[in-house]
Amino acid sequence: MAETSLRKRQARVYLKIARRQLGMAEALLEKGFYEGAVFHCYHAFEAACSAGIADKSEKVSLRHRAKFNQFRRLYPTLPFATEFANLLAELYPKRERALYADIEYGEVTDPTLEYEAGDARQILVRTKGLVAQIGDLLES
Amino acid sequence: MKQERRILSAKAPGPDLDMPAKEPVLSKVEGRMPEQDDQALQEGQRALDTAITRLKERYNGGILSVVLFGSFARGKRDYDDIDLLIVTANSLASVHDMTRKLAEEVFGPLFWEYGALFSPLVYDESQFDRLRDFLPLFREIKNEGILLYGRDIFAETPG
Repeated sequence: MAETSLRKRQARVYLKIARRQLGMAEALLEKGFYEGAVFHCYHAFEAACSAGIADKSEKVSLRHRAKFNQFRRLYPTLPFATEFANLLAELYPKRERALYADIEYGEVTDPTLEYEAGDARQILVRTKGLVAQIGDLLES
Repeated sequence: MKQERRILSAKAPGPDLDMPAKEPVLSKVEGRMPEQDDQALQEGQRALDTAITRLKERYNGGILSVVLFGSFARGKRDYDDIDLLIVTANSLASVHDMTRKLAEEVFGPLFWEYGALFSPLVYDESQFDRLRDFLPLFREIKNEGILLYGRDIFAETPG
């Protein structure tokens, strides 16, 4: 019983983290840091996922594939499963593409040019929708 | 129990096979994929097989090359995701639009079906030609990549 109660509290904290990550994404988007906005959207998504797992009183896996599959196993009939999977498939490869500048053959790669406002805004809107749906699921 | 190497069946002629034969650079699937004793690798392989089939069905002619690289290509059992380099025809869509389309039409559904996470790196042909000698990751892919579909893009001289 004590552990269940702790997991429920953990779920609420993860949900809070997800919402704060969205706030960070929004702030960065407004300042023109589009790659940062996408990065924080991914982390909002992942934190919301962790909230869903903790709410079912399970320990949250640390590895990405294990964690997302844990969520998938716990919510097999998720009403927004398609959007969850599609957004994950889009955010996951994009999450770190803005973090590294490599030097090769006298050139510096500049991944901060990777994203434009429209791309980042669309991702933010979708991630906000998904975090809200997971929040509703947990708080209903 | 050893799983048949189903990826072999996914290797199919891509577009532009009329091009003159060039010295191959990328490894072919044969001899490179590890024996699939591990359940996680088998699941990943099934997902990959389906991914290639769907890519061929949906974007026939639009996708020039698909190359597998990263930890899954090296047969690591604790792989997190399946890394793919996808080079598209220039006219297909912007890279971001293409990444989104691929997520919605191929890789998203595959997560819900198989639990497989894909990390596709999508470039159109002109971007790839411009960046091929500058991105260190491309050097890694050139050395370790496994051509799953289409042309051996590393064997070609940029136009």
